[in-house]
Amino acid sequence: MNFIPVVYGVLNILLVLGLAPLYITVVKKVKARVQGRRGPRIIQGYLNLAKLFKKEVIYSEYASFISRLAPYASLSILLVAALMVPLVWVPDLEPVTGNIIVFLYLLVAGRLLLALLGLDAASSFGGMGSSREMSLSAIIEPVTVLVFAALAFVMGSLSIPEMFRHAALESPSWSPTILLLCISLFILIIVETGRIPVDNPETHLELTMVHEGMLLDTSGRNLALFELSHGVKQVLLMALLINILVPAGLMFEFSVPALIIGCILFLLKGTVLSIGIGLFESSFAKMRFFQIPNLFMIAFFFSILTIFIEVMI
Amino acid sequence: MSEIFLFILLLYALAGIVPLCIRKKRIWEISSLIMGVGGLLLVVSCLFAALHNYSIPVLKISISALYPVTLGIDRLSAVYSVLLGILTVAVSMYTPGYLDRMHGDRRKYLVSSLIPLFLVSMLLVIFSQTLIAFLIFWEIMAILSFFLVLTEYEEARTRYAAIFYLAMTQLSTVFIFFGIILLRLITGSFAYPDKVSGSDVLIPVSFFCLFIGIAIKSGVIPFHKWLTHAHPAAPSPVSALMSGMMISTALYALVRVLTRFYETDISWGYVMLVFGCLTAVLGVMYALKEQDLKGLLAYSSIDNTGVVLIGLSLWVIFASYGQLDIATMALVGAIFHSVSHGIFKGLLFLTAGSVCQAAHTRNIDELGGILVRMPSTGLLFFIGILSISAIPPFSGFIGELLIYQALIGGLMSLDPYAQVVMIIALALFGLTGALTVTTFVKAFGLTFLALPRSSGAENARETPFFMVAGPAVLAGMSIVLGVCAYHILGIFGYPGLMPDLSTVAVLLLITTCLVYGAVYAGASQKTKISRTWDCGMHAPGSMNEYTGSGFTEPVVRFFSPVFRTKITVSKQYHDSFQCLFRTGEAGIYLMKFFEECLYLPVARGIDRYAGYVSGLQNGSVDRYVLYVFLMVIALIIVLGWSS
Repeated sequence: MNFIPVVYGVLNILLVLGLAPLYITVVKKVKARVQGRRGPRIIQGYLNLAKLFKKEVIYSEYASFISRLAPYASLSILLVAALMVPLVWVPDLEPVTGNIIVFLYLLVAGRLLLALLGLDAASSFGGMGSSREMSLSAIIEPVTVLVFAALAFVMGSLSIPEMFRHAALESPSWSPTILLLCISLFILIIVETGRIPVDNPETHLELTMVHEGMLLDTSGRNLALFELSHGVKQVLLMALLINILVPAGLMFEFSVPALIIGCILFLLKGTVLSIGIGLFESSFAKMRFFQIPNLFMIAFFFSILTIFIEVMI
Repeated sequence: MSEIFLFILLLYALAGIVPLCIRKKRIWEISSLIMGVGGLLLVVSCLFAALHNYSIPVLKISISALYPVTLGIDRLSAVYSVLLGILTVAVSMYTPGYLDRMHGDRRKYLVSSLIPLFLVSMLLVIFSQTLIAFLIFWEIMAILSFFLVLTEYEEARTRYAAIFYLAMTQLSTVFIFFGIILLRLITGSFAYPDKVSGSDVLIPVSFFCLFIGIAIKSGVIPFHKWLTHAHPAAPSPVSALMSGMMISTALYALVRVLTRFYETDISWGYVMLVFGCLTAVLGVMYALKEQDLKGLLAYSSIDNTGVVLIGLSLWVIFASYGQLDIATMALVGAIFHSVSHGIFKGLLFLTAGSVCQAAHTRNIDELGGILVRMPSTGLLFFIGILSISAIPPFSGFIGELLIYQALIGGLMSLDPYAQVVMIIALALFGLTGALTVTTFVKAFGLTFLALPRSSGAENARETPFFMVAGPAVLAGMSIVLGVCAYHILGIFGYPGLMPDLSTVAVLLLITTCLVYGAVYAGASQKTKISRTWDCGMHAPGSMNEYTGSGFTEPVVRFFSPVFRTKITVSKQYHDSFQCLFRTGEAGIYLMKFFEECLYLPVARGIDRYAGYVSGLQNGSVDRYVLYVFLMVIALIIVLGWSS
């Protein structure tokens, strides 16, 4: 029995879970600072989760098993997805396949559950949220597929750990194609995690809500689980971008000092990226819902351009 | 070994004849039992044949030496026969309960006898080893399914659907017939040809005749329109078979034609790819818009046909580039997807049938809240939508994964022009996947969740045990096929085409347990059932909910160039200056593009032509004598000329 995959899996999941609330708070903090407010404390994300876990859950009287199942399933699907994206340690033996299409469809599975949850409690807000979420997903999905295909094309493999390995070994990883890809990936992060030009996770206004609309009827530990899985999703997508753009600090052979250095480096890189996301969010206004496809077209265009550049060179 | 297949054929035929001869009450239960046993035997024996890669001649009869009818089984037909067997078992468990709740006694006998006969005709199509046998059984299959569609003939919509279906299916037979005649001319025999090649212009013509014939049967756009009329109109077990098995039979024929009959040409692949992408994307877009639950499933069958077609076309393209690894991946993906589509679409149609029967409506906007009332059916439908939405590790994901891998693999290894094509195909394929998820969130969410929106849905009750057990077999199969896909492909001799999803399944189970355990240990377990968010209204009713049309409105808006709307205004005035408005009507309709721009003009043209022709035959004897006279003169002239 080889324990390396198990150790890797546990480490990776713990790291992802630990970082998830932090990055969300960092983004909030940056936005508050830009608006001239002080913003929440850095540990506020953890405190919020702890508070939610202590509260009681209220189910709608019309709710079915979907409302009871979705919070747990949603988090565990994302944790399985987390096994596919190594944060700091790329082991030789993956505990689970790192295939990027499986990763993509695990994200889809999470989204499907969330959309059903929105419909479950028979409120019109939930319906609105899931309708919008599914509409957005219908147009972002071809883009995501192309971005991932371009990624696979540039890195020469469908497996995410293999991509990271390739990125780390290629000494100047700043080729134009990689930069273009990273723009597309950045837009993906913005859209997938419901950030500002697309969606505003902070408000419960009818005009802006997509993600929050679906969660309006959840409470207590269920809400905490959803918040956590939202954070996990954000960390995973960020890790995808970070480890391809700046793979420095990635560890291929296990050693404790390298692990610690890797963790600290990832923490820093992630914080920088979160600050970037916060600044990006602050400099945009919420887009009108039906204008959002324009944003996606940028990502679409860049990923096709990437493939063309790679083909022609 | 061949005796057992004869025995199975006999069992099916017996199941078909029993209800016709013995008019006892509930005789259809006995018939279904015989059919179920036949199905079970078929699954076992065909699995055996498929695993050991046997080629068994089943039966050889010749009507005359010129028209040999030979039946046989090889690995490809064995795989599709297994699908047929599984569907037989499920349908035979489901049908008696469904028939009990149907009205009209004579109809029940007929349906219960036609279903096994329909099944056996499809089995014979799959078993056929000569072109003439294929044609005969293909036609029998078409006629039997026409009668099955016509079951509820009192409704005008059903009659319209059946006639539409008859016209289309006969058109399909005409094309198949031409294709077969041309193949006979090329090869000189009715035996299945082996890798016909050459520069003869008849070869591509015969291929495209066969392709169009098969395309009509499997619902490739623009020949798809009959599906969405016929599948909702037929009784649910029949729609499950038509959508699950008949489409697969047609696709089986396409696989057979492509892999065996011809030395394929790359241009065929591109033509098929265009058809495939068009079918997949438009099929799912129409499905998204559909409010009729069974109509939605029918449109989604069209979409899945498109997916399979994309896989097959990739096989043709990559094979002509010499990329045999990727080509195999695409072919295996296409076959896997068509088989798993048969299973999960059967599941969805059967459970949707239960819902429609219990709630007395097929309109999604009038359903809702069914999950609480019919929990087992709802759970099975849920498994069905997970499978069809390609959620790993359910069976629908495997085919799509293989095709994705083939597309991305093609991106890496072809020449630039082909790469551009692959990029477009990839984007369209991704779009199809996303829209499928949206469609089935709508189908499940609005049918099963929230509050009922009509009294029928309010009073829906769970169906009897066997009507749940039948679909449950299919749900189980779709999980097993998905989780064990890696091992199944390994057994069939294609190891390593795809990542092993059984670990994903196990890990999903483990993490769910861990998450649940951790939350159970660490978090508050207080739970209250109350009203969550009622927007300040005192009694939120089902009127506040989202409806199906509301749910899909944003997507329709995003893709407004595809969903063409038509605005009609008709006004009447009191005076001739059009000043005093009297009455009028206005409406906004979603245009049925293919029906209005393709089918109806053709139908009108034929109608007009038929009008002229029928004028010739007016029943007066002297007119006919004139025709004979003119004919004789014409013959004299022509014969005199030639001699």
